[in-house]
Amino acid sequence: MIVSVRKSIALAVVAIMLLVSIAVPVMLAPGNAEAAVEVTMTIGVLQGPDTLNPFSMILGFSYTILFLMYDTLNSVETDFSADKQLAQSWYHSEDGKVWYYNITHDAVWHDGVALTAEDINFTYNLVLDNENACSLWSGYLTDFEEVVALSDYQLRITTTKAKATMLSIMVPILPKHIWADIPANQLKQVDYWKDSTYFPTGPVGSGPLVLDGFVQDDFVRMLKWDKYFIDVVNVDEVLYKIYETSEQMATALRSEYIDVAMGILPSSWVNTISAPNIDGQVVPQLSLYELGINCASAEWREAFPKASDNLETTNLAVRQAIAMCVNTTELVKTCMGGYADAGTSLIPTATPFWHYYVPPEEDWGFNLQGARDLLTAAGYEDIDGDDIRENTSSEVELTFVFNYRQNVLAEELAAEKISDWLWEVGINAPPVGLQESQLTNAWFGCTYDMYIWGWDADVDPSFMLSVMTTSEIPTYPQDYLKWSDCYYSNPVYDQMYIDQQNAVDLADRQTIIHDMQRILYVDCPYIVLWYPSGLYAYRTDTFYNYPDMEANPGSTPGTMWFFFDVLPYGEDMNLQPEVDLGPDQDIDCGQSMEFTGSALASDPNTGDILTYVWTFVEPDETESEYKQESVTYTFLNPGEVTVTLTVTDSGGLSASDSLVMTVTEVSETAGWVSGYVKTSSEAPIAAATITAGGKTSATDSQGKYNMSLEPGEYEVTASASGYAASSEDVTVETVTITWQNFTLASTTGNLQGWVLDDETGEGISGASVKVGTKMTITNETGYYLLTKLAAGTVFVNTSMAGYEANRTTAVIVLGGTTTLNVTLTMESTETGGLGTIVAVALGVIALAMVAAVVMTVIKKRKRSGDDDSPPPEEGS
Amino acid sequence: MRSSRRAIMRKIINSLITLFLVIILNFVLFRMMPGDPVRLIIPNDPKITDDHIAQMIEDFGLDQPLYLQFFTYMKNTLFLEFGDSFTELGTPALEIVLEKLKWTLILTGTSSIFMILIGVTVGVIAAWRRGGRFDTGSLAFSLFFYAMPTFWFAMMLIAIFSTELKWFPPDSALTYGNTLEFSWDGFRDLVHHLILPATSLTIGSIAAFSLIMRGSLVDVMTEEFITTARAKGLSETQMLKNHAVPNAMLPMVALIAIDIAFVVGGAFQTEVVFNYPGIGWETVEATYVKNYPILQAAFFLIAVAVILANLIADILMVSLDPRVKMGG
Repeated sequence: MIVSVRKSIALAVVAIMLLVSIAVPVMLAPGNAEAAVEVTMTIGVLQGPDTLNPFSMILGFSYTILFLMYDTLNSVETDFSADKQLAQSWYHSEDGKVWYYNITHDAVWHDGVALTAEDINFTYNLVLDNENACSLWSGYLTDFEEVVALSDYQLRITTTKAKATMLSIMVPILPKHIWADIPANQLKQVDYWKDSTYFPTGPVGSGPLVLDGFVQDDFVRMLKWDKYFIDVVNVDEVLYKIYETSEQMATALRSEYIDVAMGILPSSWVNTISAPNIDGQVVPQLSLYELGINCASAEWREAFPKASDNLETTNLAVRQAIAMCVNTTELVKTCMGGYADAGTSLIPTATPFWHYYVPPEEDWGFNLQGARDLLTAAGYEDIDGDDIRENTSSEVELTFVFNYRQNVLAEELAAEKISDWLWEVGINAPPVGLQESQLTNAWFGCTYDMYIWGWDADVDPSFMLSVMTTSEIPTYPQDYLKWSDCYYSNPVYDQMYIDQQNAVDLADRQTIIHDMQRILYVDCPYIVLWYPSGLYAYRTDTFYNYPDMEANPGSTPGTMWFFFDVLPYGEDMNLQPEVDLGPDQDIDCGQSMEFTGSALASDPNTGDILTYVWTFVEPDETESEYKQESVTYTFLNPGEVTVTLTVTDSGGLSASDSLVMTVTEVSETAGWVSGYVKTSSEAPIAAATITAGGKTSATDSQGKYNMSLEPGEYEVTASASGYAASSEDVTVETVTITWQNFTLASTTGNLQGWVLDDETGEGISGASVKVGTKMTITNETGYYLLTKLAAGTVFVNTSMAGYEANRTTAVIVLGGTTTLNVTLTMESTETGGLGTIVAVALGVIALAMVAAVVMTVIKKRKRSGDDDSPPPEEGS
Repeated sequence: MRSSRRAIMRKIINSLITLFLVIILNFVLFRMMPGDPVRLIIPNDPKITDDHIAQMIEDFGLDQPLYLQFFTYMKNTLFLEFGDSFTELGTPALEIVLEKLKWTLILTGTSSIFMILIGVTVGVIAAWRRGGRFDTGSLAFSLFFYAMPTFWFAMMLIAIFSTELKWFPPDSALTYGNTLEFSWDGFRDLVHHLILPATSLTIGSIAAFSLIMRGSLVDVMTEEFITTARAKGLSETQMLKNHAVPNAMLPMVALIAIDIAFVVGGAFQTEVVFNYPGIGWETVEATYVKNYPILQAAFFLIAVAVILANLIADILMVSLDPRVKMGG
């Protein structure tokens, strides 16, 4: 332990030199390891998988990875509906008990083996034969009698009763050639990487991404599977990076270490998306938060020694009064910062097909007086003058045990608000925060009267609905196998639950499910507070063409659809062209119609040249094709003619749209309406839609239309995208042409200009200019044009690789074109240059310090050699 | 000699008793925490079936009475078995904790070396030049950063050097998706990620070492033997090197010993702010989900490290301090 000054100084010198020698090359390396050739998309998440073993996973994100890695029989589409995945087509017997699925011929396992119906057969039977090991999945296969692979590409499933969920069997299909060797008692333990006897080549799935690596609490790496049969993802590697906090994730996004951040918290949302080159979307989620009310009857509570003894919550009038005291709109605003939908019925709005939209006349609304009246009418009055109502017959006070989850800020705020509102009508429910586990104990002990909690729902509504059935009510304390937390029981509802399970017809099932939700809305076991939105932020300078997740909540960065859409940002960015042929039209037999391609299609890349291909399919299936921009086609045969326009841009991306022209014989008594549709500056509007008397037509390139109608009075409406629709009353006389012109006022404006280099003043080609969701890429001269923008002041975001992003505003004028030139400044020559300067500076400072110390020591020694300077102060 | 041996024996026995108490506390502490861990790690998620929940309760023995749980625990602790991590079934908790220990050693080890070297050097120079410009300057510098909350200083470093200047990554120990490998690139990547957290730890703790070193050395310098040394005509450097510093190092031994324990225990705040996957980070993570096995393994390891470090310090003191040696 003898340490000399000289030794420690020498060590310090060595250490500092070492640090500097390491720091310099580190800083010099531009971008570090990111210089790899492949395209990696890094996505930040707040919760990683617990395990990737398909039989023992618990956490939600494990399932996200699972369904990117494995296929299912049917897909979950971007709107949460079911469609083709491994099953390409299907049909079922009359009674709905025998289902046939035709399996794709193109699916290939990640080790190159072809996927067949035998794999599906194997997987389903594995689950059916091993109820315990496969308990995660057996719920999807209830009432299954038999699963048989009729051939390599046909599967037959027989069930004991008709089942509504035969297109949402969310069981991942496992490769038989690998999993067949694994003993049943090993299923829950096997590890893709540790058990190399079973998995010699690592994990093998068949999905769009190949699982490549997983480090707990750190990352999951997946690679592109380039033989995927639906589409191939547009990135080579997807890296899910797991973060501890939302702030850390947001920092990484701002510091360019990740491309996408999933599930940012509302508190860091605005800060995150207002940073340069970052954008985001607020996406409806399959979750709900509810105020639950204990509906357990007195008899039921007998089994629960600690159960709440206040039975007033079992009174329907009390629950309805509570419902009237909850202002869901206010809660969304104050508790969720507006990033949620106000709650009503049980199934979240993210699946609008199943969600029951409560009509205004059924809505409880926020009605404190209504609640007071209802309570008074039901026999609740304040007898003892303490502002709290009592049941006038039993004298039980309306004082409730009201729990919520501690540490969940939104729920705490909501609990306080709700408690305040309830107090106003004479209900005393002071909120008490509990740990989630304590709240669980309260649930299974039936000790609360009211509580706030939440659910993550399935794509299929069955599970959420089952929570409210009688069979899900705990029958003894800590009966963990049950799901009902409000102890609601209603035999009518229970029967409807069974009915919907067996309703094979989609519309029938929807009706039943809506009715079930209406029952719940009236009975108020749950007062749904809000459906939270998912907040997704992403960089716009590393990838582009992000899907519209708001419209399609099933296309978030945890789904394959997301990766089919996004494209790596680069110099030669090519955006997909857009085509919209508008609504189906009617036309008379023998009439001609001019279709103008340039008015119906556009390309977001400014100045990109499109090639047009028109196809016309006559009622007798004869097909004609025209490779030109505009086509005049004469409709000779009555019936339906399908018109399709396919456009392809210079980069090879294409898009198409179709419409159906209904061709009818003109009656002898018919007259015509005809005229021109123009802008206020007299320019013709091509492809404007004209409707009258249930018929639809469109204008040609001159803005002219012509429509036959039986004599009579009609309201003729002209509409075109970007213009306000206009209607006129017209009297049609037999065999006469009535002229009616339209002048449409523009509702949008355009923005154009050049993106210029700050130093050289030259145009920058390939820069992206964004206004809201509209984006264009500048042409070779740096010119850009954005059309049909909403009038008013808009933000214009301009970015280009190697330049600093620019954000500015422009005023869009109705019907006009605003010119805005944007100059971009080159990014300072990368971090390498600056880093070197700093590293050198640090090194110099460190060396100077060390030199100073060494010099002092030497000096001191020299001096002490001849004459010892007197020690400071207390010396001698 | 005999007395010092007895003193050492006493210290060892004391340490063993402490260790045993810690082990008992380790059990009691976690069983006292409110909440049911099984329900905690299973979110309100419809995908998890009832059977699965029952299976987990059984697997973890959480349905047994407390005293049975305790015996199982004692037996397991002796064999260093802390059970599987609740969140990563099939992986022993100790394995996970030891894996995290690697990162903690890299981070706190590096910064400890620097903080001791820099702290001692600064302390010696400051004491030697007491009242001088360096003394005042270094005192102000080290106290300024010592007083600053670690997490705040760390966040400032991230804000400046990651988000704004983009020189260093804001989190993680390696580039996302990389694992530790022995190569020049791997090393560079490691250092690139290490600089910010290590800097925040080092700068924040220099004061602890420099102040004690300075104080201790100033004390020693007023001792009579120093006056004697000076009177004998020793040079200032010789006097410092041979007489003052060795004597002033005694309190440093205790401090360094405690620091070694801290090296194992991890730097909770720094690891969490920088998302650095060390023991501190893992412990915080495990606390959220009441991951008992991980917490027990981590606390056991930290406790052993603290007790062992203190024992070594005590023994060193006994053999270093002439008063203890002679006093018998």
